[in-house]
Amino acid sequence: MCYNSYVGKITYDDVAIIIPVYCDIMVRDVVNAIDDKFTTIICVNDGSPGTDVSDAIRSTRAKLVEHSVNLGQGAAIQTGVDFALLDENINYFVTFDADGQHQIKDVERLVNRMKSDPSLDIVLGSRFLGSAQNITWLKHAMLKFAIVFSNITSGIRLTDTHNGLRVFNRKVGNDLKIHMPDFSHASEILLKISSNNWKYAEEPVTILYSEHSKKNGQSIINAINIVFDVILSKISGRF
Amino acid sequence: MIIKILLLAVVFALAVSALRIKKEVHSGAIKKIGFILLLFGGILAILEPDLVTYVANAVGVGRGTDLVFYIFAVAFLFQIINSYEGHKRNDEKITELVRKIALMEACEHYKKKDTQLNTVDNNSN
Repeated sequence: MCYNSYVGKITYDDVAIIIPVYCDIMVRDVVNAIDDKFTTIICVNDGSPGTDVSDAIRSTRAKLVEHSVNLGQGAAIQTGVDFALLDENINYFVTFDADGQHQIKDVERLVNRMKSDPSLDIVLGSRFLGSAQNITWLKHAMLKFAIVFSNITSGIRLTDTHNGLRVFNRKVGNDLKIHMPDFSHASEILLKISSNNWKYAEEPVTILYSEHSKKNGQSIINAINIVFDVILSKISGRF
Repeated sequence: MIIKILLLAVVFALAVSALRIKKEVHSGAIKKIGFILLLFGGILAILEPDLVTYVANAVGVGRGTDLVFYIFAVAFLFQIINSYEGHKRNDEKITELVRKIALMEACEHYKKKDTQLNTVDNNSN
């Protein structure tokens, strides 16, 4: 692929990695595993009870932004994006999970893709182009259903519609304005890609399902909530 | 059978309009008018129960009481939708506030850190 010739010249000083955190103590290990070439890491503690999570984040080189109460993952991402936007040197925004599901080399791959193709506004990770290790059959089935539902409602065809790993540019960052509650932000972003005509692409990524993330992952309840939120927003015409 | 058409029309209109009217001022005005109408309707029904029976029969409902019940069922449905929308609006306001505080505190913290580092650098020079 032609964009590989750019790899040696790519720097990552203008990339902000945004990590929404709720009760994920392992975020400390996740942040410490991020290569130094990513100079800006922003962790948003979404009202986790106690001080453990904030202390863990402060012990790393990541910047900490704290919600006084829990607002939901979508809101945490939006806060992280707003904070990153304050730094004029940041041109690219990465959303990354705190529980170790995502791989940092996939971040590099997504950013390289964005940088080598300036016509793109957003690059989304896809585990079905890449690999989903240790996924349970139930989660696999639910995800497939979610993808079909999402492709129908958003008008965009993707192979993975609920992947938390994505990169977007400043244009998208400025207009993002996530307001759907909890985990519906993934669907909201797709609706916005469609309505704002942002240029998008998918890249294969690897998702590691561990014991911890199996419990924390989107359950059937979240799926019901997301379907409800998306249908409601389509009827009311605001998203 | 007119009542079926009326009820269905009202339910659909409520559902769609409750979601579509974004300006609080407009939806507030309509709700106030609706409330006044309900109030007058209630007073009228108390003073002239025969009128209720007459209206009920006119739209195809057997008893006046049944008509009153249908109207209250619809009003209740509307109240549920209204309440949900109200809570969503409040949640959005809270989110704005929490985010503002979060950003202010973070900026304050990192600005302080920056000036501390600068002071250290200056002192060591």
